[in-house]
Amino acid sequence: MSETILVIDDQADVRQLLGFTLKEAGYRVVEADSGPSGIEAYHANQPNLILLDIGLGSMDGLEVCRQLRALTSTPIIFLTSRTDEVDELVGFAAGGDDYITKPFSPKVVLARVSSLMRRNQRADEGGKTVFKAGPLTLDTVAHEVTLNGAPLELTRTEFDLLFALMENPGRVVTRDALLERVWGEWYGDSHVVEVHISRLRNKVKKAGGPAVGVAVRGVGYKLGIDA
Amino acid sequence: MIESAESDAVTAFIRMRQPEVLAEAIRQLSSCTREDLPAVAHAVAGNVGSYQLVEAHHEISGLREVLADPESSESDVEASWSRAVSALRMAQSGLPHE
Repeated sequence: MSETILVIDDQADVRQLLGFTLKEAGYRVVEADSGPSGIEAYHANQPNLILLDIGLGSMDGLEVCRQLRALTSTPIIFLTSRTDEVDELVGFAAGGDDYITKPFSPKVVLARVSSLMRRNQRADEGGKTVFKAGPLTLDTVAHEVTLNGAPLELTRTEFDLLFALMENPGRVVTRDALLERVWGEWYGDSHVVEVHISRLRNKVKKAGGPAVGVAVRGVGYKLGIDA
Repeated sequence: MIESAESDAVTAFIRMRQPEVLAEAIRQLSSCTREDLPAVAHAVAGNVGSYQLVEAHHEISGLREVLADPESSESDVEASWSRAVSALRMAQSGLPHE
């Protein structure tokens, strides 16, 4: 059965273009034209990925994302016409995994969708599934991170970054390797690595954990704690 | 005009839908109130741009900038609004007739 993508956008023309593009690529597509109907469609269809417009009507996309994040770690890509950086960062803070600016190229949408789908599949593949480093434990099957046994809530992107660092204890993972590993075919700015590493570090520290994702100037990042 | 290297099927879909997208954009932008203009321009810009109507999108983006600029006068807004509608009509007249 093909993977399902939920498109939540109040613009019918945008939904039609995304729907056609994704169906053409073999995905099953479910559409919703508002935040509440999007959440309903999530419950009814359990999609593999969600494309979510930020500029929805009464319940905006950021609020929809917050509500969805309370239910699921399904990857979410924001669609936004707001191109300034602050809004993008607010978008990630709300729990999105990636963003695409409008107007968009259908080809870029497909690349981003397929990249996030690959990240999901990689997490589901066999091999070692539990990684420990100091008080942190990351389980790729349960898709769970714990700190001293207590669950730590991370976005999918933060989870994938931590996974990449915990898989390589004691080694520096280059910024390019992280981009390739987490974002795949990337079309945006490489500063997203810094932004997400910084958010990951803050979350771990705030929960009483060690400083993870230590920057190695000009090279990349290392885990920063002993495995 | 189709600019990027989309698949043949997506290109054909975009081309097929352009007249409808333009007609709707013209309807919305020429009938909205001044109060609703920022939200309408915002929505229409995304649609028109995603359907690769590059020049019309450029004019609507210009309108959004004028609207966002606190220094803009009402006559600046009116002029930019009018240019955006004209650009949409020009794009419509430039589409191939079936």
